[in-house]
Amino acid sequence: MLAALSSIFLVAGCGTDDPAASGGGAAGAANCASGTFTVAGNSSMKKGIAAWIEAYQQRCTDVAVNFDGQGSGYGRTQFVQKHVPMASSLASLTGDQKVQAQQRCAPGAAVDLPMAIIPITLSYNLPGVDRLILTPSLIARIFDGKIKRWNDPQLVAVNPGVALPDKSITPVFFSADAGTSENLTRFLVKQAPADWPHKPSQSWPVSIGIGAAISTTIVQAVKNTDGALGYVDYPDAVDNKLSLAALDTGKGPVMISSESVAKVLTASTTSQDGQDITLDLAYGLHEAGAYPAIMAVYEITCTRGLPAAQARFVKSFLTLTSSDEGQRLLADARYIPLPPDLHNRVTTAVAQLAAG
Amino acid sequence: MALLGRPSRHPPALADGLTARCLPRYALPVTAAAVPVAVLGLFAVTGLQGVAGFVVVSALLFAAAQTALSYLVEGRRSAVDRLCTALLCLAFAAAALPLLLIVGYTVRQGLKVVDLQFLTHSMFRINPEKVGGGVYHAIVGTLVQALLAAAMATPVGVLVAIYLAEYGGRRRFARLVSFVVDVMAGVPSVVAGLFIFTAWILVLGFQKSGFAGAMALFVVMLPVVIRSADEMLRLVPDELREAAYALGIPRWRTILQVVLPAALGGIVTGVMLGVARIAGETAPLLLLVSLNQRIEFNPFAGQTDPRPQETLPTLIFEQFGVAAGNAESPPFQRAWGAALVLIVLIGLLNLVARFVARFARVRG
Amino acid sequence: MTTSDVVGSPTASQPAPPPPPGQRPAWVEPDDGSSGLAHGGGDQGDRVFRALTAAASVFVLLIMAALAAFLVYRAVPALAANTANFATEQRWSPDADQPRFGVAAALYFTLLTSMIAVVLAVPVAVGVALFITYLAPRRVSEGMGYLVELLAAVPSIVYGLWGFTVLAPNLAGLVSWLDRWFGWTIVLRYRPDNEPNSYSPLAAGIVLAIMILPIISSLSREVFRRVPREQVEAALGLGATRWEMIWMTVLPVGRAGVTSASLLGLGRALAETLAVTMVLSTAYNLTVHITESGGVTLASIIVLKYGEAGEVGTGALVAAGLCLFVITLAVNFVARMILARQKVG
Repeated sequence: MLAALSSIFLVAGCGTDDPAASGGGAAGAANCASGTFTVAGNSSMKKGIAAWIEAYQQRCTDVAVNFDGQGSGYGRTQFVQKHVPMASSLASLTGDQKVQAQQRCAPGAAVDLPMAIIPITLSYNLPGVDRLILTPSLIARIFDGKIKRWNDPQLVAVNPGVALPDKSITPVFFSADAGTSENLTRFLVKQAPADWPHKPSQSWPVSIGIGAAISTTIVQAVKNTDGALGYVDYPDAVDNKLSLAALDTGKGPVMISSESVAKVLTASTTSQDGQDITLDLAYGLHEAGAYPAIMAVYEITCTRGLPAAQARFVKSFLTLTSSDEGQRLLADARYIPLPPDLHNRVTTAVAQLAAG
Repeated sequence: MALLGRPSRHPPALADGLTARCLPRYALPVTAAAVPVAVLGLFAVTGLQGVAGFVVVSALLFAAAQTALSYLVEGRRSAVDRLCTALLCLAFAAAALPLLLIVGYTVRQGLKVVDLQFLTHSMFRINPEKVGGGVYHAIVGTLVQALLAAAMATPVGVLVAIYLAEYGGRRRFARLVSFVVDVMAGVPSVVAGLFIFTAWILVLGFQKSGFAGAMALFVVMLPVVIRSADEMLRLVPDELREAAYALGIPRWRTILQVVLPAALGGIVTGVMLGVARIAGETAPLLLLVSLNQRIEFNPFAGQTDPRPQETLPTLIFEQFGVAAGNAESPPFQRAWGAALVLIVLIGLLNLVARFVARFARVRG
Repeated sequence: MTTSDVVGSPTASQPAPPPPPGQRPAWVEPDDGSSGLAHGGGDQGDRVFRALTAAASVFVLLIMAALAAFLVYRAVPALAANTANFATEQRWSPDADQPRFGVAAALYFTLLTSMIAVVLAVPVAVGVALFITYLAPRRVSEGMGYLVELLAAVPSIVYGLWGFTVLAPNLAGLVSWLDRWFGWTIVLRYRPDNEPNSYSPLAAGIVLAIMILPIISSLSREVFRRVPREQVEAALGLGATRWEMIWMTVLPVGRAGVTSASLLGLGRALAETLAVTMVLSTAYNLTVHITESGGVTLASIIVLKYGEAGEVGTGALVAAGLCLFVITLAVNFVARMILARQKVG
């Protein structure tokens, strides 16, 4: 026992928090918080938040920010239960949770602040097939199990000139509740209601194919399953060099790009209630050059009412994320930054947050 | 030969009608050489592939060939015996192989990342998607929580063991306690985690913290300590107790000053083995302890001052998640490095436990 | 039950003398509660100390009672809100408007993966135990024992990592081969005609088998060591070959112990969480084909779903956890009974 205790002291002496390659503790100390803070939310945001945290910590040297990426729902629940001062979510607060959140933030209000856009890819694993076009109704039928083979006539008809092999299609989906599932199901309901008779929900409603619990396993499943088709977040899909299908909503095949996403955002409506900004995304858009399978990432927090240190952190962090630099970091990490007018609204709302 | 009044069955060759013979000494090596060649041919014909398949088929074919030869030359009984020997050797190889594979792979992958900096730095101000940082904070977290659990479990466990071994006897209460300890030993660690999650975090409303994790580890470790301490205490010879009583020492002092020290080595071994086991537990920690990139020594959380304490198992799981399937990425490499550190840590604890056991045996 | 099964890496290096059955001469431990020979101030100290140890025991009872109470308290409302049959429903949607959840899938795959693990591990473990006890040279056998027990020291998350990264991707060849030659046993047939994705119950079962191997092996070694040497030597003296000796003397005596050890290994496999979560890709539909990917166990569903679970969701997970607890309890209980019956009979 003595040996164990002394080993603890030995261990205690020899480690350090100092990162070996320490970036300069540049100015901005006035806006910096200090302490340890946790943000909880969707795992699809991890790369973006990691980039933001890195930039934030280069300015502010005495603050640790941890991202607990166990899901949008997880983040919202943690926020409402006062375990975290800020949550990242692919859906805004609604219903009962909104009421609880308002209570949590009293005397302030709970707000959703969009910070990033993430396109949803349809990633496939077909060696030798470089191009693939899918329509929303085909996607719905595939995931619902109605189309079972890659060389099905319906797929061949939409993909002229592509040699689709005679293999069975294995759909890959999120088996745990996921914001990505919720957004994609909304998209399918708007675009192909006849083929997708399910309600939009965080739980993927059909159990056909392979269910993967977290992003790691969904990417792995697509990569390792011959003939797989899965819906993977754009940053993860690009990082893992997955093959992406083009989406044809009736006006020609469209690949993901900031332009194709921007068109959808232009067509979407923004609602603002005080500092609470929510988007009604135009999932059902049929426009040439538009890719409507996208998600908006909201940072959920309180306008006032957080303990001083947390409020300071939230404000300074969100000021960074909504700044031009923060949005540029997003683009580098393969996310889509906010379009200009939304960006303005968000920066104004952030500036009105209480600083502690 | 006819001592037992039965017809002699030795040498078996006589009974089998063949001349009594053993396999010549060169038979086995020749077979061992011939088999791989045959298997190569087999592979060429049937289209099987792979090193693993080759090894397995060769081994099986060797066993079969050896048995067949033995049957022809030595007779049925010897053939069966040789087959049995071959199968047992195969079984051992089948057990040793995964160990070598797993440990070997972990060492190889982990060594790409583990160095002094990895062991002495935390992930503070390091982007997990990029190379850099270390697992020092996780080592601290693992040790603090495991030792905290041990600090709680050892006194309680030893006291209960003393009750069961010294005072309890055959009373109904003692039998009940023993039964409950057995039940507790069968609680899956994830259920122990659920219990603390439900009681401490949901109902009582506390924050996640290193302490909550330590409590779940305590529930897992307690029956281990009780059982092993109980057994050690029972192994102490009665003569020691009798001698003490003969000298007029009261019962409780006998236990504390005579019996316990005699059993101490074994008890310490049991505790350390328990610590080694809970150091690798992940499931309850995922439910009860948050993550942190900074070093955190204090496992007790305040309401507005959460104290997440990273541990090696949760760090591995988290980095695995961050890696998002990309096996070449820095987070994945970091996960392997942490896995190596964890294995070494547990191995060290096991080793120390064994030394203590040996040392105690020599003394007592 | 010896230390070994409790702690997992037995102090089996000590030759364990048969434990005294807890009986002591009456004057050492009178059953009437008095302290026998103590006199004077010892009485006081004895009562205090004894009360302290009894209090610790009561504390342990309270912990278990609290565990049962909190878990049941949390599970019951969720079960009441369930609109489907908990035992037969395959889907898991406790937080939907109409909660529908059930453990049919989880229970099935828990039992399936554990059975695969036991079928694979028991013969190998018993073989290893026999090898170390009767085949290996005496000097090397201790070392070999340690080697196998090292498998027990590897934490489950590392098994999960290894299974995910190394084992499952490399199983494709084996799966194809099994399908080709043994596909007539429906169990091993692989239905999709593409390359296999091997994050299957078979892969999880193999990883579990490796994990429970050291437990069964070390317990079996203990059992074989207790076979009376006289019987072993008598058999050999009568001219039995080694196999015949094992068959005639060791296995009959050790049968109950080995069965008990296997059941304990089964209990461990049932409760394993992380390794299965990482290796088995999640799916809720029951299937007989063990080489097809997909499945979920009682333990893995807790870890997967707890983060997003709401009120009913958490209760549902607790119910699943209780289910698991009851099963492992039953298995352990049967194991103990088998051992106890053998001791008596």
